[in-house]
Amino acid sequence: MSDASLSGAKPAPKSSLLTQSALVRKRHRTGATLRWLGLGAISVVLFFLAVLLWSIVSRGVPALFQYQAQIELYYDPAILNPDGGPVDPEEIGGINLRTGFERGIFTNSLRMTLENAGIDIEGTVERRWVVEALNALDAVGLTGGAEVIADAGAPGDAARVLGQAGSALRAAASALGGDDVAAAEAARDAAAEALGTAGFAQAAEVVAAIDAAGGPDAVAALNATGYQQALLDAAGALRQPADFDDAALSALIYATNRRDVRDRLVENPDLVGTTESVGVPIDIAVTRYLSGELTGIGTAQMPPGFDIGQLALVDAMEDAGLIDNAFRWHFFTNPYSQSGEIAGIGPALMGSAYMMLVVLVFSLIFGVAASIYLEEFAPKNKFTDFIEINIANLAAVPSIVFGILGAAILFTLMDLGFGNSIRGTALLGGIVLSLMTLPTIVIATRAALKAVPPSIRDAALGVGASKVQMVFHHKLPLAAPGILTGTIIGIAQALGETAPLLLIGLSVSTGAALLSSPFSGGLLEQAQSMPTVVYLFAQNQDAPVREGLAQSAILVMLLLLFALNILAILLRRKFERRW
Amino acid sequence: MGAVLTFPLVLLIVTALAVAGYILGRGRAARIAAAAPRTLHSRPNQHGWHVVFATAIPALIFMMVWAFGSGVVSNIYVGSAIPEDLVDVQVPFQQREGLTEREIEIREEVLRTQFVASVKGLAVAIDGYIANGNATEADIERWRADLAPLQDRLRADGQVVGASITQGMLTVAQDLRAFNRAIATIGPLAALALALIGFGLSLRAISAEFRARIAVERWVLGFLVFASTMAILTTIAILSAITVPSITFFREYGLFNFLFGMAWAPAGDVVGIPEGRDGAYESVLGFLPLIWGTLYISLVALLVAVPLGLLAAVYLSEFASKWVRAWVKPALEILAGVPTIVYGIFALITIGPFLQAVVGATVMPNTVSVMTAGVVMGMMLVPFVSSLSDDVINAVPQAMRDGSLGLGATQAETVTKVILPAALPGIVGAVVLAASRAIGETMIVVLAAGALSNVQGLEPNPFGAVVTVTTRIVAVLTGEGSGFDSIDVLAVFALAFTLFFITLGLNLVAQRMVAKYREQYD
Repeated sequence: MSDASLSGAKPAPKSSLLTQSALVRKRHRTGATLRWLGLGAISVVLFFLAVLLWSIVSRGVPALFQYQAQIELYYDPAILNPDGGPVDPEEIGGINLRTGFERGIFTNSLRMTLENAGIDIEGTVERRWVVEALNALDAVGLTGGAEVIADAGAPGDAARVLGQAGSALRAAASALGGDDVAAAEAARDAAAEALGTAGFAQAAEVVAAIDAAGGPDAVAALNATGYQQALLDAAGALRQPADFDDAALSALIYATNRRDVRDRLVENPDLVGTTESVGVPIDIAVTRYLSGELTGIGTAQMPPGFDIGQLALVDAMEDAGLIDNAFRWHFFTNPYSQSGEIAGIGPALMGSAYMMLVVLVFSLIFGVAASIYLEEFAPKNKFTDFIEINIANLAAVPSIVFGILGAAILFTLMDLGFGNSIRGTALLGGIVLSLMTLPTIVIATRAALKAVPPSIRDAALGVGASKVQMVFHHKLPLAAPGILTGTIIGIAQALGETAPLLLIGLSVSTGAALLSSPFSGGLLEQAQSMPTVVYLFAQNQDAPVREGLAQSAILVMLLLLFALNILAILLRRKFERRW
Repeated sequence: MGAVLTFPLVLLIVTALAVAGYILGRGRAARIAAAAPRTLHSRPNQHGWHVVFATAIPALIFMMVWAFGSGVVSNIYVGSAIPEDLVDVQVPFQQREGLTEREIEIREEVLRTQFVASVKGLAVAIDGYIANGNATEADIERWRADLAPLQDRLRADGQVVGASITQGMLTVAQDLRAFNRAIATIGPLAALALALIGFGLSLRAISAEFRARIAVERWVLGFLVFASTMAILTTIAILSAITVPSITFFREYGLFNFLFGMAWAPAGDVVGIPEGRDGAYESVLGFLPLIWGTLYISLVALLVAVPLGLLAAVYLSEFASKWVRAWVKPALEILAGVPTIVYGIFALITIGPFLQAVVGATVMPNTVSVMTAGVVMGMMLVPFVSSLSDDVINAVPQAMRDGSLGLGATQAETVTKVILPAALPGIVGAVVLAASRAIGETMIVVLAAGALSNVQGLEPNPFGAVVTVTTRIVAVLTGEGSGFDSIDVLAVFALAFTLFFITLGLNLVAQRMVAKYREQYD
């Protein structure tokens, strides 16, 4: 009261502390907005992470299973031992894998297995195509197609009848478009008659009713019925069953193990003439139909290279319980291949392990040594500063630049006469990755050395240890857990690096087999690595491999990364010391 | 090959000597100590280690230097062993017509290079032929290129023989083999001698007064210094790896043509032989379309990453409850730990088709585009931006927060009007670092930005495919690219050169900014 009168200022507007003024409300609203924005940003990021992980797991896990047909494999003496008499292993070894085994043994056995399961192969295919033809006819109101086809006898004959009607309609359409009314009338009547003969009385009336002098209108009216296209489509479908042969049957399976089977027979010639139950992978394009990814209705939904007749067979096999979905164990041992049915990541896992070994040895030794020098011995001078700047910058250099360095080393070594054999080896890859990992390890090691309290150092020096002894006997053991954790994280980073490895030729070694032991030259063999094999999978021509197996390989790689990181966390928890 | 003593064998001997040296040296020192207690300067095992180092290290270093040096030396030797007047390295008289002196020179240089490669191949083939027991050295001495079908003989043995063998080639190959044999004999012998000298000297040095510990520590310190120069060596190696080919490229192709060219269309020209009209290369190697693609994608990535990362960092450091922080931070770390190729594939098979479905195929003809790569790269950078900003925000002194709150500002006002302005230099540093990562990022753009090998002009459509600097580097060097003889390969090194200096510049700026900012509040 007295304040106001003393200063002469206007009295403050009356307000209570308990009610908020408009301004305060506005200020708080702004605060809430900021808070919601932050929460929104985090939700977006978490949603992205969830979608990313889901897209990997939902595609990668199913791709780890492989649809396969259980086939009674019959080692037919007629193929394996055509001249009769005693079985000759060498002769079996000389039989062509493709014609003799894949087309011969495997396809015949598939046919036999299906027949034993009560599946009428040709009948199933035929029925499916007849359904397809009827669908085409029904769609335009050509009712009674079933009787027409049944009356004609074989589908091929029905195709001829329908085809003739279709051709007559086509002729009628072109005549109606012409100037000659008489010819148009004749063609129209011929078409109607052809329809009538085929058995489509109603459609015949419709065609006969078209005004022959109508010119373009008549053509439009005729086309509007859609009869011509439907008849030709139906005829086409009905012609298909005749084309179904052994090749179409054998396309359903991928006889991956034909070589194993041949080798087995060469070793055990006694097996000739016997039967074994074997799981044979279904073609990878068909697996997308089996998994429901493709419906098989319409061209876009059809596995490339297959037709509905073959899919009908697949359905029949599934109904008969001949198809199962087994875990793809060979994915972890086989080398990469263009064919998704047999492709695997075995050499890649090995190659990555070897490179991690090189990184571990090289960057741990050099990284720790460099950190010890910088942290404990280096004098404060220009040279030391220069080293520090270098390390900081190397940590931020894009990984592809290290790849360029690797490529330059590779070209130089090749020029020096080491030849092409150095390209894509685990040793070269490991060295390039080590140079990349070095700064990470140096930074982690220096932090760990810094964390050891100075009292340890003073005590050691005080009782007469030399500086080297102080470091190696006291500080280093105490800093070891921190160094180890940093190293593991550095290695995990290196495990996922792709670009530098691509540049030193790891991707071109698609044929790389499993490596020998690192002590007998395995480090100097053509290698693959996990990230580069993922890249290869992503470049594959088959969509199921690109989208399925690539994700499986990513899944394995991510699991390895998580395992490494969890190991680092556990080590930190177990050995971490707070001073 | 001829030499009895090889490096692996010497390595084995040296190892054995070192082990023996440790035992002998230690024993000797221990005997001295037993005879005269407390007179020994160093402990017995330090004497042992001294023998080990003195035996093994000089020999090992020598072997490494020799192994690499001998390759270089024998390369130089081949060059000097080719007679100047050898017909193999001359441009035939009929072909000289209409060529300038310089063109003839370049062609002869190429002929020489090819000849050297053939000679080396032939030497390897002959070595293999002898190793397989098909002939003796004496047989080879009698070989003449025109006498017997050498090629067929060598090929029948499974040896790789490229060009047809001429007498000149055979002679030089024989010289080279003799030279290599000499090197392969001398090297291991010298290494063994070094090891033996070190072994003998260090064992003799053992006495009560000998300061073995100090000697050992000197070896150790030497190694530590060497290890710490690795970073410098790596930098030097990177610099020379990108600079030398780049300079060749700039000189051949023209720095101006490269930097301001509007098209990128490699044609596989050989360095030194311009085949197009007017003595120009047929390869068109302009930098602008590539850096345009790189910067366009980086811009999209930053537009995604900076707001999200910054808001997330502010929320986590100023508003979030402990519980939220405990769950969100590890999630961000997971995002940061995912390899970039995984992001690339995700962009390719999930984000690309999704974007195409949203904007339609007329705007976005392919699933690969600037947006596809940019959005995913932005998401990849979010944890990077947010953790750096988080550090920066946490470094703002608590007193500034308390002061602002104490004056009656709301928490949001404290953030926007006090903390963020104070942290601005650091945040800008973080953004610059993120930009540098975006520019150098490879696998996402390789998979999701486009893979045209011929680019004309700059693509303005954010839903169109572009080609970036890193994409081209991978595309050229992943194939069978084999050496510095193609102008297109050299161009890729020039790309790496520009990439390295752009990112280096950005990094230095960012480091400077963050350091300045730190100083301000320390």
